[in-house]
Amino acid sequence: MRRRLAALACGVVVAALVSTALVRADDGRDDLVFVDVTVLDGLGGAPRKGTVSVRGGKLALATGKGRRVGVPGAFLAPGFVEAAGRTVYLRADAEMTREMTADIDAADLVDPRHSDFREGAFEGCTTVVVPPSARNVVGGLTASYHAWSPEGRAVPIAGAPKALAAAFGQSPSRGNFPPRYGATTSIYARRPTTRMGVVWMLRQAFLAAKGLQPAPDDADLRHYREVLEGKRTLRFQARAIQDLNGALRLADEVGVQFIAEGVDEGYRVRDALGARRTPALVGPLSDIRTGRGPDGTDTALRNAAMLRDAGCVVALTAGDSGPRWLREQAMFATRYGFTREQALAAVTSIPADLCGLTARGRIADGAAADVVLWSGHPLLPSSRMLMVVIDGRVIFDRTGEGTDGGK
Amino acid sequence: MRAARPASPTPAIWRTTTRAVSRAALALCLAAVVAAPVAARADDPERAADLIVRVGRLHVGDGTVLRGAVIVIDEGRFVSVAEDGTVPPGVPVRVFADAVACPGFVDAVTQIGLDGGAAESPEARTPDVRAADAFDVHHRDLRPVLAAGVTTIGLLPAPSNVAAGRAAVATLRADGSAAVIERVGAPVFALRPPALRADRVPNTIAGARALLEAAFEGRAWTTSGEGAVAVRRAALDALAGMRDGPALAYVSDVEEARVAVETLGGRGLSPTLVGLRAAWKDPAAVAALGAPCVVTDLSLNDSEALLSLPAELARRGVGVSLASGAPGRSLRMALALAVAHGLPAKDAVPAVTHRPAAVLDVADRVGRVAPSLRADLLVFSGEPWEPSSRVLLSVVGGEITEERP
Repeated sequence: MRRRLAALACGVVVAALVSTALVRADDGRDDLVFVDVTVLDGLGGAPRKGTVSVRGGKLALATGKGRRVGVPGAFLAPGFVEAAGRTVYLRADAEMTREMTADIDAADLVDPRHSDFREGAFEGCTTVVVPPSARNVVGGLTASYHAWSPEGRAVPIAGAPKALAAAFGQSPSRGNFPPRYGATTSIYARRPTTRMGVVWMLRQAFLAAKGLQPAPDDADLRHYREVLEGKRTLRFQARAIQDLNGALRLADEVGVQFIAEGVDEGYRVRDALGARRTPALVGPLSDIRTGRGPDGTDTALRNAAMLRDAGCVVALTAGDSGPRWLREQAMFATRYGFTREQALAAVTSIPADLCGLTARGRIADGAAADVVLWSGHPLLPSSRMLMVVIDGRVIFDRTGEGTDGGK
Repeated sequence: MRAARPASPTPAIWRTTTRAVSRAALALCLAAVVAAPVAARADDPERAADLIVRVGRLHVGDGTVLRGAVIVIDEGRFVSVAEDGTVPPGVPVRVFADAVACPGFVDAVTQIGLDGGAAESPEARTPDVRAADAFDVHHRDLRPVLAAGVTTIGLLPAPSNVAAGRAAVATLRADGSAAVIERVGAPVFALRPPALRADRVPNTIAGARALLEAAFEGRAWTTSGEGAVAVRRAALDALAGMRDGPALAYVSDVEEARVAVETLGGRGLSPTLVGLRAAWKDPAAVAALGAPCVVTDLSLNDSEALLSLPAELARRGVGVSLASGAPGRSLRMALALAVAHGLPAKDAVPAVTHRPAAVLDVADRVGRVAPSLRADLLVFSGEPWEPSSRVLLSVVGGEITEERP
């Protein structure tokens, strides 16, 4: 009897071990230990030597089981988080046949196999949040992605919150004309045709959602209501001073909080933005030679630093340049008022937090295993990517080349 | 076979008597065989079959293969099919000992005979238009299609509207005309350009989803600009009335396929994905959607990756059909290319017979060599997917249209 029980117990243990092995195999995730690397936590902390392990898609600041990765002189940093990846659409980037498309989900505009995802991952960007484009006054809902996978596509991040993305300025009105001859002849035959029309439409939508005026057509107002109730994040793309001021006024009028995106002339209204602790997704810093930015803005090289000093929470974005240029945006920031660690936080933990991805963009116990191993500090142009791990899976592995590129 | 007979100069009464006698003789012979694979008319032993064919191998159409099959055809239908069937002496049988037979081809996606366009494109929602209403049953393009072995065609509205209209199904006749056997077929949707276009709602896949989901609830999801085209109540009602049943969805990219399955499947419809010419990027993702697929327009100019798509889908358990899609494309060439790029033999004939018939919801009438189905039969000198195989016998609705002994 005792022998039988022992055999049964052995069987149970073996079955348990086998099932564990199967789960891990199905999971497809890798167990890794980064040994004796310089760790950048992405939270602004100073670089320090340490060992970080990856298991089951999570990080641990301790050694563990698994493949040991040790490259002399290498830096381990969280993967970059692009909070406004605006290049990875499949076809059209906005449902332009309407001006207000709050019910459009960017997940149905995105091409997960877009090469910009892969190239972004190659440059250390492991998370991309995609809004519908700014061609509509209200574009719709954002979608968050693991930038790449061994299956050759970006993968939606399960349970990621979706912000409502709206736009001020000329983007939503440029090229529009009034409908003529009783029939729609083009997607540009629509409102609004001016900057003021954009604000006017946004105001109408929020007032309708509050029940203060009739709803236009059969517009679906539930997303606006969720914003008003504080259950959904609101993003305003606003670049020029009048658009930023318009966003602030509208937010006060209807009683909402917002994240400002673009914010090229934010330095001109930094006191007002800072007083509200407005989060700002700044960038991309475009033409650094002439100081001319999109939407007719005058850019300032120290814009992001000035906003931060005024009290804003500042993250950086490469926007419509593509996720692979996010690293360059952080490098620019180190020239104009950010320390390397601050700049790194502005492209990792801060944008992750602003997008509601609170376990990403940092190296901490239990954080998501989105990390990049670099041959040197990631914000030095001489540093190369050695390994990219996204969601606990190795996407690129160039550790065999060493920090000197195999020379 | 009857129509193929030349008009006889003999008096009608004599013809009838001769026929009766010969039938009685045949019936006696048939009764003598116990297995009776050719007992054409169990209900009417007085009457013999119109046509009996024996072939080396028969692709039934559903993936099974019968050796030495004896196929009995009467009154335009298959009566019996038997493996290693024996034929009683004296019964006239067409024997193709080394030949390979299969059902007549079913081309599920065509616009043959729809002159004047197959898209009512001023509106995005035209669920109530019918392809059958534009179909010319004597169209000149039908004869070459028939000559290429196609005996059943699906007629689809063009992919220019998100809710494009209703498909129709027609069978070809031996004289080169056609008969519509399904006038109001499956609803057809399009979630790819040109249905997504710049002068009309919607211009994105996301917009197509929003528009359809609103319409299924009876809402318009209109443009708010003044002068926007009014949405017909009848169109919304037609969409709101769709709760289950088959649907056909034109898609190109994998993401369009995903949105089609999520949107139409979410409504309770059973979508078949049609087109898929940009889906070679990720066959695994398409297969994971679990929908049957019709790959269209394969031609010699296509990339290796696209030509391998049917094989990649079949390998993952997807029911794959092939269709000519564009005018002038050959279904048999598409089959040859797909097999040359890995489509297994067991999936090859079904991809152009039984599966497309199932896609068109007429699998109980055409697409297999099985009792009671329409007798459309092709006999080739080799495998149907080999370009070198010649047609030895072609039977359409029970009538011989081509015979080369």
